[in-house]
Amino acid sequence: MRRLRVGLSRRLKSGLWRGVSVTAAMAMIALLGLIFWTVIKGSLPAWSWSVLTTPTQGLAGGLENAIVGTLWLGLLTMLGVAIAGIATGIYAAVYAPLWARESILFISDVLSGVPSIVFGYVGYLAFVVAFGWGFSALAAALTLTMLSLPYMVRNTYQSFAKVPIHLIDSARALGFSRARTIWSLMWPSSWGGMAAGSILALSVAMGETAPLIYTAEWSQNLPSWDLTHHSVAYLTYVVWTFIQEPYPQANALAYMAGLVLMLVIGAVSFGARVREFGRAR
Amino acid sequence: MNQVLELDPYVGETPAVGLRIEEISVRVGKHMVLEGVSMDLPGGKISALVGPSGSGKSSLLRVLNRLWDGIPRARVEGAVWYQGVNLYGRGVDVAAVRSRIGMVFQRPTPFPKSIVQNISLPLAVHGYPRSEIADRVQASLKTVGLWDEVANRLGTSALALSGGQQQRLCIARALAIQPDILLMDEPASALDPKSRGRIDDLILSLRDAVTVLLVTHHLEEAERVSDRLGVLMDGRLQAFGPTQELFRSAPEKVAQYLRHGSGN
Repeated sequence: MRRLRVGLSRRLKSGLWRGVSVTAAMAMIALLGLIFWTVIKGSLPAWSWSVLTTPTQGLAGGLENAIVGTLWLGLLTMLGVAIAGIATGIYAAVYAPLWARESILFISDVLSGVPSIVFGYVGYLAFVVAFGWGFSALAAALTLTMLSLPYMVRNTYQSFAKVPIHLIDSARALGFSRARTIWSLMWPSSWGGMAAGSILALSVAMGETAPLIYTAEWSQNLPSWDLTHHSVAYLTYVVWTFIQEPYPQANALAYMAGLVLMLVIGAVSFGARVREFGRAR
Repeated sequence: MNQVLELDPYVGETPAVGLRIEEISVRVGKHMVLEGVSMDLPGGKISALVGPSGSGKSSLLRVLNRLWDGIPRARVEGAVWYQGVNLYGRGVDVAAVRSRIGMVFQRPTPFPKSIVQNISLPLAVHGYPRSEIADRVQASLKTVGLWDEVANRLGTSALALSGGQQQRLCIARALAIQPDILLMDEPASALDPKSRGRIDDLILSLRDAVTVLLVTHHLEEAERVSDRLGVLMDGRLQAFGPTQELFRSAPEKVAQYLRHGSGN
């Protein structure tokens, strides 16, 4: 008869695995903590509420222009990504013949591997120069849209492809058109996936630096809300530029910009999660 | 159990219409799924289709409301005549076909919506006036004997219903848009014996009002509910005729299948 007790070697093995995975998880959390600690410590000298309410002046001042600019660019990007990404994802999942679907997903995967500075350069040549928009919110947002499109396409495609086939079959058998099936049945059950995709796209977009340097330039002022010919401020610029300056004040502002960015992105993802959690219950 | 099944007043306003299936063949890639199947489904009667797994029963149902459309590499040949129109002819409106020829699947497939929406959505899709929808929802729920069970929770999710209730809801959903013909693909096979009995009673109650084609694995069910019986084997129709007659005498191959029960 087989022994019922688990043997020593099996217990050792399972203990080892457990140990490794717990250690890895801890290391991950510790790393995140380290990042937070560094950023918070660095930003302390710059802290005061006025940081949030005054624009940068030279290498000093506050971050108001950069915060508003980042949100402005994020909003525009999200709009572009949502429209283009959802349309492409639905086409791939529902309408496209096999070869087209595979091509779209392949291209989208390739696109997500392109370095962001390449997007910046392409955006510069296309939108800033060729279209003549100059450094502007529109040029920047479209560049960020190209860059974060793959995340949206993937998420939309996957959440639509996950809708059970028997549900689609029964809708067809009832005489629903394809458009009707999409809007009445597939859209509601894919909503969560699409929301997750746009949040991810938004966080990626807001954290970018290189493509923005090429397309949005930098501005000491609050965004003018003009789509073209007006440069825009953004947080990552402060991080990237001010950290290299020899002045402690500028360095602290760079850390502060990093902290604000992390908090904004964190809040957005957290908001999305709370929503999902509410749905799951 | 029969008394709950009062007939939907909207069903059966017109005499039930039949269906003529003529030399239907289905090919998926190089694989022949159905070969030269011809049969007449008499209006208002219940016809059953039996046969071993993989003999093409469900494939034939899918032919009849054009569910093969758009399936890669699938080809349907032959004709299906309905009210003098070949459903595979030119210029046929597939959505209209599907509204006249309904389908119920093996596993219950309620939409992830409320009980009411499951029925009102197809009604809205087919352009029924808003004022009629509530009445029709109620009538079709009564037809399937579900009204008393769900009347006080119409707004709750259909997914919270039991399997048997879900299947009856799906039948109500199909009946609500007043099809002439209802195709049922083993509608009771995923259910417990009691729910199975209710579905059988429900099918029987549809006789005369709707033309039913029922695919089933259970010979007893076919014998109990059907007027006509067809036996499919390897994609060919081996026999088709009045059920009782077929059980009494049939070609040797068919008789053997009918004797040795519902096995695969």
